[in-house]
Amino acid sequence: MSRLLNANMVRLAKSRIFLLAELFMVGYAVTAYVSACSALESRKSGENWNLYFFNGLLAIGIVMAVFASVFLHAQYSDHTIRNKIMVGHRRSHIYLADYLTCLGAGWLMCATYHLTGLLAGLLLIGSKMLEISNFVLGMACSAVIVMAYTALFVLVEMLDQNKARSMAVNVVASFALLAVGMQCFNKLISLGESAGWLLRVLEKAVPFVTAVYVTTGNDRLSAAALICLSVEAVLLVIIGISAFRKVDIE
Amino acid sequence: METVLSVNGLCKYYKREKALDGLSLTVPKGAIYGLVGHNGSGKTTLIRLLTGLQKPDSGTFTLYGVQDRNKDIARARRRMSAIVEMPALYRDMTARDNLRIQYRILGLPSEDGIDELLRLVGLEDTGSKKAGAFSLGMRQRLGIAVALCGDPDFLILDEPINGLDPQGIIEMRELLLMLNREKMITILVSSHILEELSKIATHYGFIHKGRLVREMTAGELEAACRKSLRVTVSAGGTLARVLDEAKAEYCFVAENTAEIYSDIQITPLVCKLAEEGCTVLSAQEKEESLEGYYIRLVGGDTHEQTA
Repeated sequence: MSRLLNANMVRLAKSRIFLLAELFMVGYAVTAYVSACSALESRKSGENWNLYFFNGLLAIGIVMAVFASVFLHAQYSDHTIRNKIMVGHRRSHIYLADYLTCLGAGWLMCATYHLTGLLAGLLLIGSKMLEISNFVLGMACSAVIVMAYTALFVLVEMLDQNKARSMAVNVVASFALLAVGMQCFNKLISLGESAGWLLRVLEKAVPFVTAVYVTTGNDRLSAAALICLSVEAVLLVIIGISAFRKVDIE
Repeated sequence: METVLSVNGLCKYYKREKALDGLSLTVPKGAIYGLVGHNGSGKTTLIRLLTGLQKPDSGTFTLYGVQDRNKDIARARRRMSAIVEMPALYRDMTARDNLRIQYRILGLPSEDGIDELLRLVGLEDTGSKKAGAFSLGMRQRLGIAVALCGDPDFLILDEPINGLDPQGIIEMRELLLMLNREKMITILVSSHILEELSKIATHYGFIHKGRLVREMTAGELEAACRKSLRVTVSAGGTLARVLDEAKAEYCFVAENTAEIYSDIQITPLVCKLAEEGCTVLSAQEKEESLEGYYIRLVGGDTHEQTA
């Protein structure tokens, strides 16, 4: 599988969509910190640094949906996936290498956001301390949220050879997760401990809810949500591999 | 005779439609095997099964002595390479980068062979031009270069001359002949352009409605399509004696029927046979084109729209 990962890395390094996604994260970070700066100046906001440092997590779902769709689907539209299968690589390895490549790209996008934010923050706001526990938890959450999003989008992309349809499904899914997550968050905040079981399940299963908790520094953020998202990612990868083994490649 | 590929009763359905119907064929080592059939006859489906892109519903094939259900088939596939329908290339990358990626996929430690491959297919001067901007002929040649990464000794090409201009067809033909003769690569090439295939193929498999209708060598096909005079007489022995005396080239297709390939005058032959007491019952001149032979073989069916 290392050969496949190696080849994917060469592609990633030359990928335009990856470059665009990175630029978007840079732009998003700068915008977030510029707005943070102006909010601080007008005293409209308190010093919730999570809101700026982890704001990229709110957009990462949509960015990953577009990136995974374009990057992975090139294999089907250019038929280059055949080159991997025909030389005897196992389908499970092909799937896993593609997943790991997209996951790595997602983490790099988050890292780009954080680094740009750090730089922009230092320049615009000056040196401020983010609690170390908040920072570690936020980074762990970022990693797991990207894992879950990537697992979903890679599954759709690898199983559907129709480019337009799979891309539409991924983008719609990313917006649907955002909408459902936002709805859940609002209800959970208003209901508190009296929230029903469905809301509690969605709270842990929808990556966007965790992303909102991280960015708002909410106390409801729990280790259970991270475990749930990790299990969700692993399950989606296993389902994807099993189904991909049976797919007839055109 | 050593065989590279042996296919035994392969069947493949697309929903309820039968794309392959118990197809069997054998590709000998060192051959250029022409797989002939019209669109929808099952050529591409067969290639997809051989390359592992799809799985057969029943039947088996053996590649370098390894059966397709054996775990070692992946290792056997590393000795084989293929272009299915169109070359699989990263269109946003240069020819060199395409080869570099294939080298990585194969895990080849050194990229030394890339220049030689580019020279071999005549793409050494393409520089930073992206594969997406290549002409169809250039893409086909780059596809072959990608397929040749890792030095395979069995190459499968699906309709490699489709859409090429006359110059491109000649270049492709010369490239395939060179790969077969100089690099000893066995080639399975599918096409519905028989005339072009006949210039390179050493063996033929005629496929129709997912079945192999006939498998023959180039010599056998040439004989079947050769210009001849078919003569039926009352006494075959007399005819053989007269033809031997005339030093004619012939062969008997039935007890009293011979195909005469030499350029022979019919009137003196009939007179000579009459003198010997042998009656000529019929004489018919026969000359068949490759296409004519194929049409006769498959029963003159029209094209179908199956995959």
